[in-house]
Amino acid sequence: MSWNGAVPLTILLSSLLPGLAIFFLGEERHRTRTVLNLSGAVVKVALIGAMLIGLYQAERAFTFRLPLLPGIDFLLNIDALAMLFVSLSGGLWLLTTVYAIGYLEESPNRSRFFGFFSVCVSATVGIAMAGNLFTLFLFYELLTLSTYPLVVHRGTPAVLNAGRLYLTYTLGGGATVLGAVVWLQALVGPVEFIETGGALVGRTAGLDPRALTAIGALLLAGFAVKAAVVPLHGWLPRAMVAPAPVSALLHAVAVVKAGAFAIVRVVHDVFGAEMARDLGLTTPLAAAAATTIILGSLWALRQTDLKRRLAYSTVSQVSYIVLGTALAGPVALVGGLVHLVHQGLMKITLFFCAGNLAETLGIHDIRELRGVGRRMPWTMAAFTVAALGMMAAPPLAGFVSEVHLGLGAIEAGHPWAVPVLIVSALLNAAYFLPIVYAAWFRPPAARWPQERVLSPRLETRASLLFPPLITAAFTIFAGVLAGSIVSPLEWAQLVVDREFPP
Amino acid sequence: MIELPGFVLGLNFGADAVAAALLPVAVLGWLAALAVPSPGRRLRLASWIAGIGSLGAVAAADLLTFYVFFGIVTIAAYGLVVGDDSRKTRWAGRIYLSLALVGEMILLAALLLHLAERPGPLAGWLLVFGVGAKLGLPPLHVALAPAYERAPTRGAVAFAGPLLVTAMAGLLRFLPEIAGAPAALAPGLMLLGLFTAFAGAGLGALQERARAVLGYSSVSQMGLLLAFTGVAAAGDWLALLPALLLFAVHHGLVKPALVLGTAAAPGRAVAAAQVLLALAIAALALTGGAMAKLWVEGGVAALAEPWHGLVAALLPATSVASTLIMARFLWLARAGAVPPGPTAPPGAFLMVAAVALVVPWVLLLRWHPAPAALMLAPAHLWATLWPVFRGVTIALAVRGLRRRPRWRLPPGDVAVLLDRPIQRWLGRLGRPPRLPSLPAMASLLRRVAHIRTAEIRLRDLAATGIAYLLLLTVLLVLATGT
Repeated sequence: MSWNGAVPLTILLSSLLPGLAIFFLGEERHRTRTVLNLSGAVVKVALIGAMLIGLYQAERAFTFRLPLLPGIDFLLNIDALAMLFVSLSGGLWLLTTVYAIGYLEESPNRSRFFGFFSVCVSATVGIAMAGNLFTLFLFYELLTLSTYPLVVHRGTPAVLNAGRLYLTYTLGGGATVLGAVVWLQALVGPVEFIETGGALVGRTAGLDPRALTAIGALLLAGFAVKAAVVPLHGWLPRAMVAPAPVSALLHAVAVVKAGAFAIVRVVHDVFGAEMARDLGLTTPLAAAAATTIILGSLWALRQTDLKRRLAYSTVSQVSYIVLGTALAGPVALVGGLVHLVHQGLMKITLFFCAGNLAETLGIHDIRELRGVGRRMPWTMAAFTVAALGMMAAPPLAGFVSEVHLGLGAIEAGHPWAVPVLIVSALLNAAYFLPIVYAAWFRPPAARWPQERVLSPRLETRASLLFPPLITAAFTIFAGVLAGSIVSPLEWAQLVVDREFPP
Repeated sequence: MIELPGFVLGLNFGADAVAAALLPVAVLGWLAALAVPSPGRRLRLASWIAGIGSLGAVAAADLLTFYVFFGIVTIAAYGLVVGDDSRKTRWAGRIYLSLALVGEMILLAALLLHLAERPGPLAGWLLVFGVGAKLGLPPLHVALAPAYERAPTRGAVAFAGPLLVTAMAGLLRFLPEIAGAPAALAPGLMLLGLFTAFAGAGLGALQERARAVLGYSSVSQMGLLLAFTGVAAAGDWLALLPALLLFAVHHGLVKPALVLGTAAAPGRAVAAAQVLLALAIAALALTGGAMAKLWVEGGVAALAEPWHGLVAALLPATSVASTLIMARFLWLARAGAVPPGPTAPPGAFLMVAAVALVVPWVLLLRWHPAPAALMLAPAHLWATLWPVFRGVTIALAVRGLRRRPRWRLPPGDVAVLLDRPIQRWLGRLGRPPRLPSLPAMASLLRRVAHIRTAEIRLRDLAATGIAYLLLLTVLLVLATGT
């Protein structure tokens, strides 16, 4: 095994091994656990950085192959698209770990929590690096199983109900994917992702196109469960009963992203944009995404619970990525891929802030937010930046996504998507701005629902305060510096240049 | 030309005729706004952000750059409106922001068509209505008067001056490029513009407060600008552009001066300056308003029928309407007290007023081939004097009747009427039909009790996870061995 093959494996193990070790740690071994957690996360980020440079400069191949059965390989492969998702989940995992350590201080069952937390991120990174459909499926299921204990961490009846719903949906989705993978393998043999053109191009001679359409539909439906595309979205808003770091994981780093990412893989690297369009897969997918975008925002408008509103907002925003994929054109794909990163940055900020409000002041309802900008100015500043980004206000990250998606829709011959995006941006404003307004422009109530002083100087505990500030800063940078070579946009452009060679 | 390709999606700044004329006006407008002491930190922050945004937008060399900075202005300007926590102010702020965001999204559509290289009438109209939320084009005009009335003085000056200038700059600079051939838009622009000019004046004359009147006056004047734009679009755009710019400069300086004057400590000099400024808005002979009108009339003469007849007949009448609304303003400003909040220093006001009255002359002398002779020709003098006389006569006659208007119109006209139905409709929108989210599957699972008990057992075993992962590791190790 060459050094280049060891890199993806090490990235995978950098969170898996600490995770396994943490399971065996006693509950009180706070320090050891923190060291394990953070060193794993830092090692992962460092490796990702090194690989990023390697991939960008030398276009080296990072591949790890392990034959399991004849025709079934365990394959990790780093291409440009994998790198985009690996960097996102690796970077945000580090911040979420810091946040989770602060958030769960003094709460029970921390070893179990952090163990599964690490496994969950390993699964996500595995999804990103999976080089074929089989490996993708393997990690997709591992993700389901490792997030369930996190969702039900608090163990109350409501939480257990939500957890059951989560399992019902995601295992159903997984089973659908498995069926499709087996069917496809039986027809054409092993399917390894090919960035340029798609894996099935040139291999479908003599096959019934209806069978291919059915396989594609099954794959997309199975992955759409995790991406929370209507009508498969029901689990996501219910799962918001989980602790805030888990919500961050579900909504920004891992779960919904895994679904959206897998959809990109299926459309562009299994079928290829052209074949997916000819098989009639992309138009229904785009329609479902557009429906989700609008309905998710409308549902969000109706919620008064802060986290529920954010959850429905995710339902809507993740479908931007799906839409960008389904429009099957280069500019739209740039918009979708860059939104994969941008939505992650903005939504994780929002959930971090919601967690801070709940932990510090006991605020869960939007009506309790009046004047909170005076009590927690930094948290609310981060929230405001992320909320403005969500409504595509220039020059923030969401604006960059929106312009590419809209432009891509026109270029791909689907101008109907432009009004969808515009209406969605207005609905985003309608459900985010009242929060921002109440926080900054209204006088505060006499006392907060449940105030705790977590820090002598800061507005809340430092480990809770800095992660959202950092992600909010990234939200600004991703927009303001979108044209520079360090921006997510530049990387998304690189991916698309490989997907659609000139 | 300044190019910043690394920022946002590539920012470009550069001065053309529009930016060269309007950038100084925007700067002067902000200076006038900053002359008013600000009561709060929030207002100060909002003025600086909106200031940077509007200067960036006026200097923008392409529509993308303009959009980015215009968007910054849109959000920050909310802080200029909402200076207190009263119900009416909050309402004004909400109406402003809702409509400004709608305008912003319309502008986004124009931007997307532009980036996709699809110029045409659709893109042109999207641009017009995109900046129209700030210009006060109906039906987006409803936000203007409440904002002028409720905003603290500094905010109101900014709204009347630099914010309007920013929107005008966007319109004049990008319309020909975005619309492709702007001539296709000309009839619509002239009709919409003239309608807005009269409607704004009519609505304004029914107002009860001086600043609300000024808000409607801006609506009316921007209608006039739009009609001028239509005339220029129908004929030689480049030949008439200086006339449009002259009008933009004149209005961009006079209107903030008028607003500033409402907050200046009363006195004779202040009152005299207010009257002069009001006459300039009414386009009395020898003021900036009259210069622009006379210049545009040259373009009107070249219009084809029926447009020539229509515009030539209605253009003088707009001056009558403007005179009426300005008479109403002077009457209210005389009777009404200085609005609460910090007063503007009278010296600063007088300086701004002087600049506003003189600068159009400077520009005319620089831009127009035969200015003085043209302005002072008896026919022209008469053409710009009689509408004002007629307006004054009507105003005096109405006042002679000593009747207060029987029904009053709140600032924001139709928005006040439509607000509640729209809110109700939005509330209903928030209750979309619940889609079935696989309930059958969930209830099926619930019925299978075994799964539930097994699940509870599994949950109690924290070791399940360990076992699972150990199994996975063992499998991996075995697999590597083979």
